Amino acid sequence: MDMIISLVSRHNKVFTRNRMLVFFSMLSVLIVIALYAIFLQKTQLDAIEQYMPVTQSIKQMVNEWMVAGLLSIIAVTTTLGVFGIYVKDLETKTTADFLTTAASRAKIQVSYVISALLIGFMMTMLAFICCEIFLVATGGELLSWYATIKIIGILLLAVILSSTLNLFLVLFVKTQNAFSTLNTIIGTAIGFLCGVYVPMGALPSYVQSMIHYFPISHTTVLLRDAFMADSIQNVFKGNEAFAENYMLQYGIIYEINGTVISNISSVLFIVGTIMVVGVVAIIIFSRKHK
Amino acid sequence: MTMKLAIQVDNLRKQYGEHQAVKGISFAVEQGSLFAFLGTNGAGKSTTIEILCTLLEASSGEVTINNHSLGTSKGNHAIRQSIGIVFQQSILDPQLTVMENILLRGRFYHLAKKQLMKNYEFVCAYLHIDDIAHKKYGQLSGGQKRRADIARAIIHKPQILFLDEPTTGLDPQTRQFVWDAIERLRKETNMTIFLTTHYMEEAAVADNIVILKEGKIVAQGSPNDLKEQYASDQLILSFKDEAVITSLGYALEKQGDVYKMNIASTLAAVPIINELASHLTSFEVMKGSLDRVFIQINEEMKVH
Repeated sequence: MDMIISLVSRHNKVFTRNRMLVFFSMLSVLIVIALYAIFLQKTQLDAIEQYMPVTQSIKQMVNEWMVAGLLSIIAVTTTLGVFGIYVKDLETKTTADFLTTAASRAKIQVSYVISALLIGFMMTMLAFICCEIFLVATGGELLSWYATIKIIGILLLAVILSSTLNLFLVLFVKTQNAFSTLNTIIGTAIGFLCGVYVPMGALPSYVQSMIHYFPISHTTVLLRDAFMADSIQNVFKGNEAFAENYMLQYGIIYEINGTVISNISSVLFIVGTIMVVGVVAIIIFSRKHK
Repeated sequence: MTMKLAIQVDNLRKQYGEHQAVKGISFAVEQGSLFAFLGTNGAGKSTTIEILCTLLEASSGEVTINNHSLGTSKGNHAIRQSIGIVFQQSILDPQLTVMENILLRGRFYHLAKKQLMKNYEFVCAYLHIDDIAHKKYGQLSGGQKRRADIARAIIHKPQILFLDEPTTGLDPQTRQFVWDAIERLRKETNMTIFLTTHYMEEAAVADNIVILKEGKIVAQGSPNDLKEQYASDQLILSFKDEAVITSLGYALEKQGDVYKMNIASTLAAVPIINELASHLTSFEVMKGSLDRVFIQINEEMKVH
């Protein structure tokens, strides 16, 4: 146990003291904020304005939509950033140094995953606090305790899912060059694959189907639902058809083959993915380093 | 007197697909000795070291290190506990301080906390780490980094220390420091030193040298043995008039505008020079050096 704690604290120090790593894991966040400030907020508000006058609570609802997407992306990019340490260690022979010691292989491997979980969760929590400050500062109401706890739970799930998927991907990366390519691809693609850069409704239907089956996008859906439930109630005031149309267009709910996917189904889909990918990753990992 | 062996390698082979990197080599390293492993790039040096350090699996052959046999999981574990490695490149974390780096790796060896701190104080004093202990590794000079690297490698007081080209790229003064530290370590702690190097003058102080070429051992022995065998002392002469040479009765070899001959020792040159003094414009006596051994061996290999 002592050894794992030492290793995890080492990875954490290497990450937090490396400003470039921290910066790049936050880069996609900055892109989302910029996109949102420049045009995403305006297009959404313009679209809604055709049906009803834009009020403070509509602005609030749209802000919450952005924040939910942002948090689900952060969970992915921060955990990936931590695995950057693993790739760097591999290339600079630090891994070789670890492997020539009496430390157990399994402990070395597990330490990277724990570190990714810890840093990923800490960074997303930090981002969550910033987002909440932003929402309140722009005139919104503080989230209820119930919503807060629900969101923290979803974020935890999102971090576990992202760590597992990233671990799987990083197993195929041997050099830091390849890793930064992977980082760029994921950093760019994740915003589209979660329907954060462009609203679901604006995408062709085959892309929509792809997103429906992309596990990480289900964390976005859950987060949007948790953040926006109250304001959607406020804004649409019982206009069910209109509300559902909005929710489908902006990816707050998914509809596959005419049925709306329940939150429980999304959670089960996420948990299932974690288990399957996790087991496969462990098998590959232990075959690589005997 | 029979010496205890620290490392025994018997018919070691490593195959990468079609390519055989190590082609059945055998050698032994005595406990407490300084062993030098030489070879040009691609000779199989790194592969062999990686196998000995438990990083690579051998294709076949027997290796025993500190009486533990390599390849079994129990053996590997015991070997890892008893070896230290100074890698060619810097492998410590640039963002961490020297102390953080050394203590982290020290925890990998199942030492009690008190023992680890005692060892840490020992390596600090030994390699003059105190003044850099709280500096970040990434901000150190090349020489300071090497000091930290060696400190890390001996934090668990290993019985064998592997050094993979430890002085490559260092300035002469730092090289000397590193070299003195290694020598002191060997004399005071009886640690076995397994060294690969490009610098022949470093191999010259080794007890035993193995020269590897294309995956095979082409020469081994003490520096003196090798010099005797491959690079004897030489006398180099330049003559006033080359016409006299044929009448002298010495086996001279022309090289450029000078003539060379092998001699048994430097002193053997004295009577020859006395005899030929009147015919000469200049002479030079060259002692056999390991540099020449190395060049000679590589030349010979090309011919065959």
